[in-house]
Amino acid sequence: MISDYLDSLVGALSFDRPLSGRVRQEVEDHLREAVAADPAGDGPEAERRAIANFGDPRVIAAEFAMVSLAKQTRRVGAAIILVIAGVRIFRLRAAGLWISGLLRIPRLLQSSGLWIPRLLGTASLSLRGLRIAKQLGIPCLLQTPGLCAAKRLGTAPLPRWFGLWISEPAALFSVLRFRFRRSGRWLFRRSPFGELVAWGRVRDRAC
Amino acid sequence: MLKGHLDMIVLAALSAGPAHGYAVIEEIKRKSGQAFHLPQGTIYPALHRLEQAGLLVSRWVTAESGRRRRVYSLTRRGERALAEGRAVWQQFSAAIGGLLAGTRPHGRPA
Repeated sequence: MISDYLDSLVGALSFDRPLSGRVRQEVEDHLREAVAADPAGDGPEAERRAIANFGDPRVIAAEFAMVSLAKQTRRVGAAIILVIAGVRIFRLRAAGLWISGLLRIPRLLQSSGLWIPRLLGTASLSLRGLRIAKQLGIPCLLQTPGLCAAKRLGTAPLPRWFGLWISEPAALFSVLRFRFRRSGRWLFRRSPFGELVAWGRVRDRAC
Repeated sequence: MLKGHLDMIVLAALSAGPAHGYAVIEEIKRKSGQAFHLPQGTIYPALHRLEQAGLLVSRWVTAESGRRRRVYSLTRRGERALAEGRAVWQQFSAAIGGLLAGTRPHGRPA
């Protein structure tokens, strides 16, 4: 009789398997103890009384359903909070990485003395200036103001090693080329960048 | 009305010490002078609910009969909740007692 009652109670608690297993053990212990404590002995009549005193399994299952629902609601709520927090953290992290990535570009450019864009810019300017000057037949020395402006944009803030190993030799070579050109002889291959830097150095020294 | 106070009744029954479900019911009967006739099965959902609320803790033990049983005991939070419940009930009881006796509650201006 007790086993049948427990089976019906567990069946009514089938919505929560772990809970039904625990409740079965607890209720079985309760009913066995109630039967053992019955003054009439441990016969079927004592079992019937114990079951009757315990109550309708469907009513008990309904009360456990509220407990189980509250537990599962808390779990789902905690899971939702964790998921939302995770998504937000991920988004913030992604946004942070994206922003830091964007911030890293000027930082990289700054740490490198902005030499890449400046070199590109000055090379472009010098080439353009030289082409124009060549088309107009302007002597190279007259290119100095434009080239100096280009140089001011580009090479002035470059590190010292750049001046020592590149600017100065380029200036020397360009000046030599200029001299040789003036004398009608080309000693060095055309080097717009070197020419640019050279004119900048000339201007710096002359001014 | 009794159902609304079931949690406090269960906490009060466990205030004497750890007990399993059947012993809790017996303690309620003894302390109440057999006044309450609850379906015994309703105690177990209450025990589970109070445990989830952190007012009780439970553990499996093996009884002398060899059966496993779940023993419940009050947590500190449960003790505090019981103390608060007692204070509220005493105030309520005094107020209702005064009302039913036709006297004015203490500490109120005339």
